[in-house]
Amino acid sequence: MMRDSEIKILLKGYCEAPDNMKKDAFIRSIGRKQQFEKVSFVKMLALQARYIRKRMWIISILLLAWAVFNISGLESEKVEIISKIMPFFACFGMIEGCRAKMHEMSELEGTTLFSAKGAYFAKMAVIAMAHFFTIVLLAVFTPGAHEKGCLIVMARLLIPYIVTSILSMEAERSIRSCGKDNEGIHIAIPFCVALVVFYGREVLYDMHVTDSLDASKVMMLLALVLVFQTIEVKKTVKLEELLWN
Amino acid sequence: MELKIDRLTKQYDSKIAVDRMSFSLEKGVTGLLGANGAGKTTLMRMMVGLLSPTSGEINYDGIPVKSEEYRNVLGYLPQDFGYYPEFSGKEFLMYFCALKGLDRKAAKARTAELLKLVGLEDVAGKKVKKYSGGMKQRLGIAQALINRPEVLVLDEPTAGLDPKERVRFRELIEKIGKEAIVLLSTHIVSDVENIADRIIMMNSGQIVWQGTWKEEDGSLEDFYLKTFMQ
Ligand SMILES: Nc1ncnc2c1ncn2[C@@H]1O[C@H](COP(=O)(O)OP(=O)(O)O)[C@@H](O)[C@H]1O
Ligand SMILES: [Mg+2]
Repeated sequence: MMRDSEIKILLKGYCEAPDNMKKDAFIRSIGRKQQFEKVSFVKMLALQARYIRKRMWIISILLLAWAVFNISGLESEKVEIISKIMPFFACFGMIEGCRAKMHEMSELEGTTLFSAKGAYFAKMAVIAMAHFFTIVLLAVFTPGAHEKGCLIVMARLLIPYIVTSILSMEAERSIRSCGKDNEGIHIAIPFCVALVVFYGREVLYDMHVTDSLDASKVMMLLALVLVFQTIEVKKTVKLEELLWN
Repeated sequence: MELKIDRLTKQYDSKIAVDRMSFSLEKGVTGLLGANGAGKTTLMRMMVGLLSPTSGEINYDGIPVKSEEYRNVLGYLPQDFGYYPEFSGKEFLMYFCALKGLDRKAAKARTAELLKLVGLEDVAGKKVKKYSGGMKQRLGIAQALINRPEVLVLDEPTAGLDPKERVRFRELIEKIGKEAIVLLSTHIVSDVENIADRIIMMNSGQIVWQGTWKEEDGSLEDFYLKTFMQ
């Protein structure tokens, strides 16, 4: 049991007792002072990064390692195969962001300074940056990449990644706004999305992207996908208003 | 320091959960008393900015509830909450420190302080999964106090607490109420009759009685029952 005196000491840091007249103004000034130290987005990223589970990173690394080292066949086919891995790569990132609702943390997170939305975006941003960096590295160092041009390889890796993340965000938003908790859906949707993208890109890439005309098509597709991504992110930014309605 | 609620209404499809409620809260403990389904949780969710009202307004000294500025001085304990399964009690609090903008060093100090305050320092490293209902509830209360809130909203905070924990909780709330606006909801009269400076009784989304309960007024319990038997 804690004694009153101990509680008093603990509460002293809370608020030093000023004289009664000035108390209100004093307390108000504490509140305002706190508000002036606005936390920057970079700090928020740093604070949230450590709460991305290690298993997300491990799965990403394993998927890549498997793709890069264990695929037999022609060197030039490796780009194809790695791009097929991308939806799964994106999936595991998205699942990491969906966890708040799944584990009933949304209400708690929603009333903090950063809010549930802030926590979600900070985690997503860290994961997306790490994945993007990896994709750039892959585009540069994958055997066979240079024959096709690094930029094209990068675009071909990015497109399935982005499409998956767009659809996952869409799914996450509809789950949130309908207010139902269904863990199964949370897991199943990204996987279905990944599969659709998986076959979708089979169709897209069946034609060999070798000449410059097809290359420009790929870049246009990337640009299009990026536009959709932006729209999707904007919609999700507005999500908080919709959360409980 | 004034939290102002003005003709606040929330309608779900055909059900009006909160019906044109107006009141304002000042420093001190206010008990929100009402039976299950009275609309307490709906009202509180609107007061913490999680739920948009159908109509009406809420602001704190002119600050809208859907703002960083308000969330910065807000502490909230939901009626139900979960946790990430990998969290220990300490990690749970550290996580919310991070979400409330505390850097690592400040977060560590504050977490240790709060674990002690709610008597969880011995089980700080244990997974929340393994906590009893009362321990989890105390963790939730600790989480709400991280940022030394000016506005503290607690939805059925005594649920799951054993009698000893209830006594300690009341002592703590009484002290916090000296410096902050505290609103706590309950359907148990004894939770609030001794510590609340003011009581708001609600039924079917409306205020049925509000004021300060004095001993000479008789038993609050009887009054409460009589009000709801009508
Ligand atoms: N999301 C919702 N959709 C429809 N009705 C709801 C919703 N949430 C609460 N209600 C209804 O609103 C009323 C008030 O509920 P609530 O605020 O949870 O009451 P309390 O917390 O006092 O038990 C209840 O009749 C409940 O069924
Ligand atoms: Mg309730």
